[in-house]
Order: sequence, then structure tokens, then C-alpha cells
Amino acid sequence: MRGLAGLFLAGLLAVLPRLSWAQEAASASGAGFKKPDMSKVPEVGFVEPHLLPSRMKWKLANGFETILAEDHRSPLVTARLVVRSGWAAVPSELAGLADAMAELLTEGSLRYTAREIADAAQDYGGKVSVKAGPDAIVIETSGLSEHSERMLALLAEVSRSPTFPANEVELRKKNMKEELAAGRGDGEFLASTAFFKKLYRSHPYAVTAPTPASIGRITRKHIAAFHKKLFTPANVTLILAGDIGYEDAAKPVNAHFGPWKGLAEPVEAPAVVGGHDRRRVFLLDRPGASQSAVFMGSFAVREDHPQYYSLLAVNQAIGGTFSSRLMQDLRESKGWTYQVWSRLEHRLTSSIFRVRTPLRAENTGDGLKAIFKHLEEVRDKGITEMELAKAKAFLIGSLAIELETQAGLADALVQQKILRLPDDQLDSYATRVSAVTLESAARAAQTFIRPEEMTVVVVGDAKAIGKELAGFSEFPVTPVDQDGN
Amino acid sequence: MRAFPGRVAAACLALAAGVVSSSLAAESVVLANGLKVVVSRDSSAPVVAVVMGFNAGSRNETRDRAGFAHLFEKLMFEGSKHARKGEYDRILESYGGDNNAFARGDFTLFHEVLPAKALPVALWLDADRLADLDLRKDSVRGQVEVAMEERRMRVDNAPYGRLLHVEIASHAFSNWQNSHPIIADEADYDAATHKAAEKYYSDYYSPANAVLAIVGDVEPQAALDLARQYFEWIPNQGTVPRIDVSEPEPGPSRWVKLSDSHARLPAFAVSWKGMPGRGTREAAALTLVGRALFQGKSSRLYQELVKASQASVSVAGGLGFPLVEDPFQYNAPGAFGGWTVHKAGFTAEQVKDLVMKQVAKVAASGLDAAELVRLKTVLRSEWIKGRETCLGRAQALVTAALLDGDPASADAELSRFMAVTPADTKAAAQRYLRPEIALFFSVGPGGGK
Repeated sequence: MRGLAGLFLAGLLAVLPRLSWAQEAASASGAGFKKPDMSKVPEVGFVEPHLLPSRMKWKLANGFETILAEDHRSPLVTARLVVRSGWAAVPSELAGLADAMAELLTEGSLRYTAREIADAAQDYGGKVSVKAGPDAIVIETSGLSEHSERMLALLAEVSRSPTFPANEVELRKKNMKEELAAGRGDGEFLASTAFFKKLYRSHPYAVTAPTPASIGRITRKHIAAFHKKLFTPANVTLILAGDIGYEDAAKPVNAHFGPWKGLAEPVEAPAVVGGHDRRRVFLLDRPGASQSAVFMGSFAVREDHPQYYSLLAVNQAIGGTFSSRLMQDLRESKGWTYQVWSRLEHRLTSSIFRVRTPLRAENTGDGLKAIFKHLEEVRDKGITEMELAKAKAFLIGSLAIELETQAGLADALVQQKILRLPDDQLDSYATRVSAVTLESAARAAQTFIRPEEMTVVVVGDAKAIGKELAGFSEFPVTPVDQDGN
Repeated sequence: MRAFPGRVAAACLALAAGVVSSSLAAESVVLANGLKVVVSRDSSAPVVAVVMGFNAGSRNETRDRAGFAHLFEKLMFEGSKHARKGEYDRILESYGGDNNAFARGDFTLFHEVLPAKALPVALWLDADRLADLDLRKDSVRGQVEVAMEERRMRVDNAPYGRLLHVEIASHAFSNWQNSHPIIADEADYDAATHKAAEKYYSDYYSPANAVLAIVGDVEPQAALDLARQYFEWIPNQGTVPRIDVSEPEPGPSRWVKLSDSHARLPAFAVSWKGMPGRGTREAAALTLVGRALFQGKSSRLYQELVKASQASVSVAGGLGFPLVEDPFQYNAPGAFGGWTVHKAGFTAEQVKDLVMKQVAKVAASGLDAAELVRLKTVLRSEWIKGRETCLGRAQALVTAALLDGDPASADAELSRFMAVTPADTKAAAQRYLRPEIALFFSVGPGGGK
């Protein structure tokens, strides 16, 4: 059965080959395979970075923008409708308004009931979900390319003509309260809510979760007005990735989004002014918790900042991968946690470097001490040559892996749109990562890794860990409640 | 799973023009030591996925080695004879590669995704840890600690963690093989000796107990040759004896009342055991019935519980619940069921009545024709999406090879679901989802401490 003639090449044959295990005549052909030299890593030639699929971009007369990335390998289409402005455009007394509106987009429209919207999505093999974030609301869906026109029709229906039926608004409000109650059972949720409150203080980015009172204040009128303000053709971008060509996309886009009227009222998050010059520790008491949820961070820089890629390499070495310093020490050597990751996280007008981990209650102090020690070491000495080489290969390789699926590519384009990054940001990514040097990484570490200015939130058993936490700040440990106040 | 990486893991590379059909057309061979190797080519991107799977799930464990499937999912990354502790990740990352591992009831899978050119590196790493894993006492102890942390995070400290990861299976099944959790208790690990770990490794991590799939931009013959070069010298340690996982007939319906100190809202769950075998028409019908009842906003229980009665805030479930989510990884003896987090104003009994009313409706009339068409369209779409990446295809081939004994069954599985008729769904619901053998769970909230 050897030789190319016997091979079934994926993609060439629609017929299913009947496979059964070929019992290899091991003695015959096996003779040619002696045990390889296992003592060293096999040598591999230079691995070239990869090019991304080309994108097309066009605008309708009303300002509605479409970005299309064709990729015909799977008979699927993935769509994202990006609406600029999100949580940050909501006054804090109405916290939860963006999320309520996002959920309610699929709960009734001029033509369809909520149930019919869900069914219509199943008709093309998908579902519609809507996410609200700090700077945008994103409608997500995907399905079979043979039904792409139905998908575009449904996207237009839910974005352009939701009716926010009164009974659905009331139900959503009730369920938001219940979901919030359930979320408050989760230490990670509580830590995240408090962290952003304390980090961003009076800036709109401080509010990432509603309160029962703010949910109570939201009315149907608020929701409809918020929709009207944000959902205008010039404030929206449709991103399509997958098995669809320009002709097949342009016609339905024009038909469904062309007649859309309305003027954009851009609502942007204001600049984040003023950082933190001292480390502060906040504690949310969760009596009896066997783990402490830790969320800590400080301000960093956006992807279009000249030092960004150097900082990104630094982050990889600290806690960006499995072989990073934090993971190897806290998880692999000490067993204090199941996972500890650091990352750079972005908003339109702000970026942060942050570390998250659930620590064993009895090792909360040890764990924090170790995290600060690693951060200080990297700040003072930079990263090693081997760490830099690994970070570069990993970042370039993993971007390729991430962009391999339609959803991965579409989501990367969504981020680019929300953060207003240059169109060539993904294409030039590998070049920019390659340009990082040991010196530029050390400078970025010195500038942006600031353990001494970190906001640290711990959700855990105050009786067990309160004393230990006191040693991490010149200020007393501040108790916070479940709203992060 | 080892841990959640910061980035979304997928596979291969986007671009290129060629359409890849969803067929997994592949080349397969059994090496002299019993290792099964499958290669499938996809030249649309210069990437390759390597998946190594073992007949070593939690159901195959013996009582003195409870939790070992999950423990070895981690230990396999702790260093081997030539790639010492920490080297595995460091070397793979230096090629931009991605890796992870998952232990399930019926198998444990390990994978790497990396540039196609670097295939020998992945094969070298996998061969070294298959042949010569470093099982020093401190690394075993260290990974037991990590496993216990994972247990605290997912089971002990998460709302409803015990219900989903421990309680449902422990009450639904009678045979210990099926009823014990994947993540063991600390006491189980403490009781296990280092000798037991060494024995587990030689028993289960034998070439004859494994399947290796290579999918990506590789010339199949060259990839098979490489696989033979790196793996064929490893001695065959034999296969593991089949363990009896059969279940007695389900007993009469009963309630299990639980409380959960982390939960803020009460929850209700239902479970049936004695589900039909993998690959049968009945299992396919029950997959679609499960989706009709529990999954998505079109589902009958979402409409009943969240919308009409407004009793609940969430609903989930289906065939395999709570252990197996992917219908293509389902294996008998399975369970069927679902759960819902409901409002304090409703009693578990009330919620049960609402759930059972919908189950009875399916048993009485089957799924509607239009509903069934929609569910099949969604399943087909998900199936294609699951094969969008080299990794997805390699996992499908290994899963099919481990569970069906034939990687080609990965190509046949979708057609079974497409053949289901409304009459099949009615018959399956009538036979398997009888109220008199249903197991009900109520979870009282402890306020979320």
C-alpha cells in the first residue's frame, strides 16, 4: 500500500475511504528504521512567518462599513457586527444598561418574536449572541456558507429593528439580578469587579458589573434610547470571514444595511488621567474560602505604542506561557496554584498589565511575595536571551495558530476595529515582534512593570489571610464590598 | 485540562485557496509495537497537529489508582529522559507551538500544534515521554498538589462544582468505574504509592494502548516514516485488560438533596442512566432530543423555564451530561440529563414538574419535523467547525480510533445524525427517558460564602 497512488489526499476525494488498520510488515520495512538519536532535539530548518489572508473593505453611502476576509477552506461563514461604544458610554447609576440592551437585541424585532429569532439562526446552523464590553457591543454569529444570505438578513433584523418588548425587558431585569447574585458566588468575578473599581476609580472604565439598584433603575426607554444613539450605520462595522466572496457578500449587505438611516453620535471613553503612585491592597472577605482569588495590575501601553512589542515579550517571560517564570515557580515548583497568568489588556483609552491567580488560602502570602519578587527581578534585570527568543517564536507562531479559524481571524479584526489600531497591525505583527531586542525589552520592563504601583485585590478568608496581606502595602489593607466599593 | 492558556488555542494557519473537504481521508498503519498511526494531509497551511491518545480514562482506573488518568495528563509534561523537567514547554514554545492535554472518562489526549517543518520535534518529545517518562517522587507529589488545586478551583470552590463534577455521576451510576470522579480526592492520592504510579505508566502508557494522529502540511509517507523512526523502537508493554464498565438496570426514581455553600441560587438536575451504545441510531436520536430539550434559546426547556414560567435563569444538558459535552465523544454506558439554576421562589418539585412535562411531550409525540431539521443543520455546522483546524481533525481521528477501533468512523458519524427521524426521537425518548427511572437532584444554596 506504499506510495502516493494509495493515498487519499484530504480535499481531493469526496468519497469516504474505508480505513482499516494496515498491519505494517514491520520486519520487512521496519529494518530501515533504527532508533534515532534521542539525546538531542531534532534539527529543524528556519521557519518562516506567515502572511494573513487579504481583506477587502468598503463603505455604503450611509457610512456602513464592511470588512471581508475570504477563506474558502471550510463551508462556513463567521460574522461580527461591531458597534462602537459600550459600558463606558453608560452612566454608573445605570450600570448594566449596555448588557441589558445587548441581550434584548435578540428578544424581539419588528418581524420576529424572540423564539423566531433563535429559530432563524438555527436555520443557517448557528446562533446569535451579543456581547457588551468597555468600548463596544459586538453581535456574533456563524453558520453554513450555503445559508449566508439568511445570516446577513437576521443580523440586519436584530441590529436595525429590535423592539425591546416590555415583558422581555422586565424578564431580563429580573434575570440580571439573579445572574448577578449567582456571579457573586464566584471569587473570580468579585475580584475582577473590585479590581477595575479600584484601578479606574471615577473613570467610566471602573464599572464592569451592575448592582441590584442600577438594574432596578433601567427602563425600556433607557434601552431604546441607548440603542438609537449607538446603532447608526456610520457607527457600525460588519466583519465577515470565511467561505463567501465579494459578490455574495455585497448584494445582501447592500440590500439589508443600505437603506439604514441615522447619524452617528460618537460616544467615546474619555482619556484615563492619573495613575497610582503606591501599591494598595484591597480585601474582600469570603469566610471559609479554601482559595484566594487574586487580581492585580497597573497601567501599561496600547498596541500602537512604540514600546508595546517589547513589553509583550516581557509579559511572555513573566506569565504569558506555561514555561513562564510565574507558572513554573508558583504552579510547577510550589504547587500553590493551578494556574497563574499575566497579560496585557486593552481599552480604547487605556491599557493594563495584570496578573490573576487563585492561590491556596494557606499560601496566599507566599504566593504574593513570589509574584512581587519575580516582577521586581524582571523590572530590574530584564529578561534573558533564551526567554526573548522563546517569546518571539511563541508570539509569531501562536498568532498564526490563533488566526487559523474563521472566528480567530474575525475576532482579531474586531479588536483592531474597537481599539482603532492601524489596518496593517496584524500583517506587521511578526516584523515588529522580531525587532524586539534584549535592551528594548529591559527598557520596557523598567518602564512598565511596576509592582510598587499595583492595585491588588484579594478575595479570600480575612481571618486566615488578613494579617499576611498587611505586609504588602504601606497603607492598611482596605476592605471592599461585593460591588468593589 | 492542564490549564487555560491566555490565548485561544486552535490549529494550523489561515489563508490559502484550496477547499478542504470535511472528510478526514487518511492513511493509517499499526507499528510493530502496536502503536496505531494515522496521517491526514492538509496543505492549506504550513502547520501540523500531532495528537497522541491513550485508552486511559477515569473509567479504566482501578480503585487503588483512582485519579491517575487525570494525574498522568499532568505528569506527562514533567520531563522525560532527554527532555528534562521544563524542557517540553520550553522547546515547543521555541517553535511557536501550542500544546495541551485532556483526561476524560474513556481516554486521555495530548496534542501539539506547530510549524509543519518542526514535526520531528513534536514526535521526538512525544516518543521520549512515551518511552522514558521521569517519574521521580517529587514531580509526582508536585503534580498531585496541582491536581488538588484544580479540584479546589473547579469542584470544591466553584458554585455547583460538586453537583456537576461529583454528585450526579456518583448517584446515577452504580459501578465504581463509572461513578467516581475524574479528579480524585486528596485521600485517594495520598493512599496511592509511588509504585502504583510506575505501574500505571507501564500498563497504560504502552504503544499498543495508544493512537497517534498527524494532520497537516506533511507528505503522508514521510510523516509515517518519521513516526516509525521515532516510535517503533519503543517496546510494547502490552494492552490493558478491558475493565467491566457495565451498569445494572436503573433503579426506581428518587431524589438526592444537596446543599452548596458557594451557590447563591438553588439548582435542579435530572439524570437517566442506561443510555444506548455509541454509534447507534438511538444514541443519535437522543443527542438530538437532548438538544431539543436543553440547548439554546430555541430549546423546549429554555422556553418553558426561562421564558414561560420564568422559574429559571439557565438551562443546559443533553446526552452524556454532565461528563461528555461533545456528541462525537459520547460512549456507553452513558447518562442523559440536564440542570437548571432556578429562582428561590420556585421549589425543586415545581421545577421538576415543568421539566418532566416537556420530557413527556417528546416521549408522546417526538420532535417536530421542522425542529429536527433545524437541529440537524446546527449539528452539521458544528461538526464542520470542529474540523476547521488540523487539531480538530486529528482529535476526531484519534477519538474515533480509540472509541470505535477505526479512525474512518470519524467520517461516518455525521450521517447517523442526519438519518434520525421524528419517529426515532419519539421511540428513544419513550424507551430511555421514563419518569419512573429518573434521578432528581435539588441543590439548596448556602448563600455564596
